[in-house]
Amino acid sequence: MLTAVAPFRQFIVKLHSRCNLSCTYCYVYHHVDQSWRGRPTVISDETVAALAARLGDHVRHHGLPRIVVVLHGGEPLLAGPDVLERVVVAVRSAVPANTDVEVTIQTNGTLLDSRFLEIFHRHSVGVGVSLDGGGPIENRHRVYADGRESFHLVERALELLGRPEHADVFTGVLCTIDLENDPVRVYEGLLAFRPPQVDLLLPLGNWVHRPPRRGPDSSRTPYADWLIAVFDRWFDAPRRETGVRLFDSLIALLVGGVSDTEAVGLSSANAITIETDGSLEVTDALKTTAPGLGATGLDVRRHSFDAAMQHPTVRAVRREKDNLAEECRLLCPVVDVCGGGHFSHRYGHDGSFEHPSVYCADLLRLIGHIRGRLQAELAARRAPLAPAG
Amino acid sequence: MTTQSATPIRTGLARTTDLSLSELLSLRATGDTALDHCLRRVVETAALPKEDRVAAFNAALTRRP
Repeated sequence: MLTAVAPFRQFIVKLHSRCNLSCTYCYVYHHVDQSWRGRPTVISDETVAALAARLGDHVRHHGLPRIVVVLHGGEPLLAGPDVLERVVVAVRSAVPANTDVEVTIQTNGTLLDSRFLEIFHRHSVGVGVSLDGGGPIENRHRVYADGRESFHLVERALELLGRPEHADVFTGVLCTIDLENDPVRVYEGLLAFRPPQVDLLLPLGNWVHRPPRRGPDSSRTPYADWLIAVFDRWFDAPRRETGVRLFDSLIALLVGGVSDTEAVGLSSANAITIETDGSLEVTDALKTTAPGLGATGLDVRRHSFDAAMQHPTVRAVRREKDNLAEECRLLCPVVDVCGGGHFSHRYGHDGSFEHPSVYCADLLRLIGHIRGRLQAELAARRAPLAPAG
Repeated sequence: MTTQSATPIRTGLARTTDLSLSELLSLRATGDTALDHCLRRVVETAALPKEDRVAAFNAALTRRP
């Protein structure tokens, strides 16, 4: 069912289509869509100019007070400091002065150095690092193409980012869950780098390409088990040690608030991806479903972002109850919280997304656990106020 | 400082304990646990447009408003 369109507010800009790492689970290089092979390695000045002009038009047309631009890849730092700076300046220059443009970059950290940090500070670019835990064992999948580990370089980058003078630009760590890793050890390993926030990502997978150890037996919930161990460690700390986007979002949803992530909840990210050749893709996550499924056939040289807003796939990925499978809409007790899980996790053998998440059993158990912990905690806090019987 | 939003927040879970979110906030034990931060953030951001809040799965974490 087609739903109402909304302007884009989040722009994932691919600065570089290649990566110096070859992480074994990477959705760009090691999944079914191989479109990266035909893309230019670096975004060109012409594409940057077209992107900035389209972005400025979009912001003005819709009167957007704030947008987020996420510099991405591949590995975006491979584009070099000059390209990076040109993109940030071009985008900020193209929008009205009263529009807040938050710029972030998601990097594997291996190339981070003082040259980049100086640019991040000068242009107020928030830096997120991808990391699966606090040591080389936990990061066994984050390797170079020849199998060499990358952790020692990322560790150096995180030690740099963790210095007080860089607190303004370090925004956090994205960690992909690996069931082979001990959950609490992963969380505590990440904490050692003092990230202001962390997010824990379920591996991209679906009913066709199943995530590791996510078999058909719904009585087994290995991802919920893993996340619950981290949740309890995080929740029971006497003082909050960091934010965890997934947990913050689930708690917010359970008390009537809004999610911060499109992983859960029924609010949309309103995001679009701009590849290095200027083509527009719905979301990288669709690269794990079928070849070309995320492509719109549009690009910033010839098409406006408003044209992309009308694309059927853009409309279909909106996180609305009408876009969910019937059993989710009609039968699920936590649908307003899980929101059907991530869109790409619902892809089925029939080529449609009208299925529960491949992580449905895990999400149900995790949400039930968090709801129980919340209810107990809130009841305990209320008890001292209860009138004496 | 925590500010109250102009619009009421539907607190499905809070209703089960018969407390409003602002009352729950007043029950903070130390004010600095993960839950305290979450509850405070729900109240502080309730008036913000939700369209500005939700991040794509691969988006870097942003500085929180």
